[in-house]
Amino acid sequence: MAAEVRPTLLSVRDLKTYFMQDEGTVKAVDGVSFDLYPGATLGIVGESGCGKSVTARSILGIVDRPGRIVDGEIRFRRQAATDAVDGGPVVDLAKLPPNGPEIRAIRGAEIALIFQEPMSSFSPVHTVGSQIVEAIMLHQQVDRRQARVRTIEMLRRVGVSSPDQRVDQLSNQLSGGLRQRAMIAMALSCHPTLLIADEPTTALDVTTQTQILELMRQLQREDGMAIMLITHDLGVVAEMATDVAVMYLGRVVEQAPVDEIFHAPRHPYTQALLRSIPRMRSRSRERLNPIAGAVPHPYDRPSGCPFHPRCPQFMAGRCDAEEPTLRSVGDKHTVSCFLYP
Amino acid sequence: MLAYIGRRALLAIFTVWAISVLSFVIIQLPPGDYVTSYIAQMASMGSVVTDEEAQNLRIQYGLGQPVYVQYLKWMRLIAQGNFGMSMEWRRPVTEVIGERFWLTVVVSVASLFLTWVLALPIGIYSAVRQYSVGDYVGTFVGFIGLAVPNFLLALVLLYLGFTLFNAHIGGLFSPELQDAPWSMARVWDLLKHLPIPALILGLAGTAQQIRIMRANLLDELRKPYVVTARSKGLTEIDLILKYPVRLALNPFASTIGYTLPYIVSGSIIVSLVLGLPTVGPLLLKALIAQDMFLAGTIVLLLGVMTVIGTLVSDILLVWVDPRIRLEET
Amino acid sequence: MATPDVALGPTSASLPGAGAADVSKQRIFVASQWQLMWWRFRKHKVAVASALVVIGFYLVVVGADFLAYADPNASEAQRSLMPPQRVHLFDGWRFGPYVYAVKGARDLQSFKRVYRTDPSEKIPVRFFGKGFEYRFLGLIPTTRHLIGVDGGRDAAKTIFLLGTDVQGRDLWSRLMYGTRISLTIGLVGVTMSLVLGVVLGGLSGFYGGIADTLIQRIIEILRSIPTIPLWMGLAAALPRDWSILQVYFAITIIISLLAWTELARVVRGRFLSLREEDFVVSARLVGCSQMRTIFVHMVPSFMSHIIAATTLALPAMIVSETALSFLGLGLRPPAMSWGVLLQQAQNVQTVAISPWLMLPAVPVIVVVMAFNFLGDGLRDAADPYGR
Repeated sequence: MAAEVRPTLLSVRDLKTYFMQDEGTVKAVDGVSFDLYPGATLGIVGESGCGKSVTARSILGIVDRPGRIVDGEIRFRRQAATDAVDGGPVVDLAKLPPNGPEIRAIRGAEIALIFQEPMSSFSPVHTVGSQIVEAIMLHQQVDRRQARVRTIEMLRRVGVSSPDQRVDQLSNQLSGGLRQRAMIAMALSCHPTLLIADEPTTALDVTTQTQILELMRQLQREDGMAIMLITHDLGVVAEMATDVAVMYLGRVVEQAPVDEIFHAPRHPYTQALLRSIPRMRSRSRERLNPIAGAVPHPYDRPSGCPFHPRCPQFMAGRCDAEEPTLRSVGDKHTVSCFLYP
Repeated sequence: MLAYIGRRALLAIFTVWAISVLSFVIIQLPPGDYVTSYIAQMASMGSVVTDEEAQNLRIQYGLGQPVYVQYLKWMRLIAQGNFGMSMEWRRPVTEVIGERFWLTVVVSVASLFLTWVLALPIGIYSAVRQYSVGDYVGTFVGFIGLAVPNFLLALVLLYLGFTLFNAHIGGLFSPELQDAPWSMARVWDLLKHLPIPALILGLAGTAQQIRIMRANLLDELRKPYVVTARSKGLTEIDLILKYPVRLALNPFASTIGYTLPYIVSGSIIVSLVLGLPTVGPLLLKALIAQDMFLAGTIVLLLGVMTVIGTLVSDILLVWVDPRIRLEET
Repeated sequence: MATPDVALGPTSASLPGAGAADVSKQRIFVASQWQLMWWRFRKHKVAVASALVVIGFYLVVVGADFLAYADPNASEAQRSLMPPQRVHLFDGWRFGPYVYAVKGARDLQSFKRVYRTDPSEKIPVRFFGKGFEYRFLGLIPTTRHLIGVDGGRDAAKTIFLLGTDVQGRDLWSRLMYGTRISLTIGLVGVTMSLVLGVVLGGLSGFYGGIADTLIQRIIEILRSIPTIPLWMGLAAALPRDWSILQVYFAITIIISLLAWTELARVVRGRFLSLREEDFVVSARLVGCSQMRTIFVHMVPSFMSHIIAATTLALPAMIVSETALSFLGLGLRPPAMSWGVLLQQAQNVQTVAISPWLMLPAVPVIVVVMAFNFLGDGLRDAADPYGR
């Protein structure tokens, strides 16, 4: 397979987002690096609390106080004014003034974010339509009437039935699946190049889950946008992602194309994660394989490699002393582990 | 929505009835009956009440009959606009109360309005800029408002005004316009004198509303839809005013109605200290002099005004929160 | 059976470097609900300070006789409206507090009493000096007070820390006694409101249905009525010849009749939200009787909220009584409460000449603030979801 040399859409290097609290500093994101290509789907997986959501919010600069980005680069290629093939200028999102005009112009228009809880992510007292119209009018030069037409069109495109009626309803009048579709419509209303989906299907039942994922794939095919899919569900990742980044305690420990991750995982944590999935065809009464130990308390980070207290291949003297960095171990496959110096 | 308003209106009617009963109890409480004291009063002035007149009065007020009959007769008299005679002033009660009642309304409404106007922005600022200097100042002023009873505050302010500025802050009008007929000049004079009494009256309510608004807004600011709005690219000011403030307003608006009884209540004492020509000083004198029809009527009027005010604020609440409107569908 | 893609890893028992997860080394800490509350409460410095202030005030209630140095009812026209005396702490270099004697005379032009300090005569102030007789804690007769001056009844040889009122009575001593009445009226009133509020609120919240609707409507009606005109009306109707004690209780009843609504609302709200909780449902499913469910399972959950609400209701009571007495409709002389003392400060002319008459306002403000901070602190400590 010929390796295409495409310019990266999003390039995160050594991102650090810390929360300065009275009791101590929580290093929610502690050196995250990954690349995202146009039209690709990057799955970010990890246990709860590993920093996936904070990473997503750091990219858009909407980390809640007292958290803030303390280090690192978030290089994003903006849309070109004209139809240039290579895209527009590259901007370091981490260095933009917070809530300034440039980052606000990117939010919603070039990078969109959809959330886990569509119910509480919509304002309960404003109609769904008005919230989508607002997004359109913020970034595109159209009047209210045109924006409403586009809203209805967008709702139709995501599969919302009777969009011209739904547009004037409140979010609590829609079912969970419809709400998530409306959320997707709002996110895509300005045709962003990157869609960040933070656990978009976790709050949905399995049937609706499948529909939403299928919708996202279809829209991606039609619009050519990249998706950053954050989830803890390895099944969703297997279905949707082209590349996968595995996170643990605020660090990316392994990044590879999806096939490699599932068939040739290198990092002990990734291996343990895959081992812990119950097998359909295992013998009855066979023991499950949880990962030993527990995720450390955020104020109590282990020294050196964050996984070493739970690692079956722990090397004393090395793993608890230094921090490993990401090394390439194959075609687009990087691992952060001393097993692969 | 209509059903909601209907329920509130029905409740208001019940409340008015309860107040009328309580006012009637107040009228009836002192020993002896009204007519005997009226006769005695007339006698002390040298005029004589004939037996026939006394008998008519007795029938009119239903004296000597069971209490509920007296109540009904009193209600019927009120429906005709006859609120009874003030013994102390020897004039019909309505004449004695005169414009004082409307001035009470003006002061109370001004106070309520001021509470709104002050509490809302200060509450929003305190929540958005938590732990800033402005937040602490606002909280401190709020505590003063809560801790210092309004009549004491009035007293201290009067004292300070008198000794430091040699100014007489009390009263609603300048001396020359005190008893003048209504004119633009008088209205303007009233407006100039309103802020201080309105502020003193409303300070405690303002303090409370600031705390409620601040707490509500802090809750709402943590919610996901605020993050959604921010991720769409809205400016901070726009998104705060459009979304969380709108939601924090609901419980806020519903509590504003209940500050009205408190304001009306407080206006009684504060107007005594400040010497305002409202219903308060009149009520106190009437109670001390056992001028019961005057006192009872004032209590009734105050209660009715409060209930109407609360009802109006309830209707306004419905306008603010579409969820109640849709609850009925 | 397909072979797994990766070899089975070691079990947890054989993992190296897993010391932190060793369960045997964990100690289990248990704290009761009240301990948790106390620890959270302690973190609020302001609330703790307020608690100390409140305790201080109630100590004054107990030791009012001791802290006062002049008979609060001893009026003496010669000493009417004396301004507060300045206490000098050091006589030369020794610590020996004293005041200058004050001579009063009638100003012939305004016919008011004017006072001049006489620097030639120093009156030493003694700690634990003698004064009027009283029974300490109601039991031990004694004449010792916190401070006193020699010379007893001599009008020229006295001390007036806060000045005197129109009838020449010492304001400080009256303030001490006034504290006693003002603070205890609050307690009695709050107890009554508490009982009414808990019972009615509980009925309303726990049983719901018609009882709830009825009680709710009553509460709403009472909340819509302006309280002060009603209180004034009811208080004015009390017969003039009632004894102080009867008036005292009547006033508390009148105030509580309208004040219970707030507590009832809190109790009702708690019951309503708790009723649906899983632990309550499971208690009933396990077979607990209704009484047991309420008292063993539900009440401890909101006991702390009740305490906080009660603490916040106290200042309202105190202010209500002060307001009524200030107007002359509540307690009347010879009873002493802060409101009665403030009666003398009703208009600006009097106060402009004798501003010390406003001093009883200070404990009112301090106590109200202290109770508010204390109640806030308790409420935050009781809330398990607070920050």
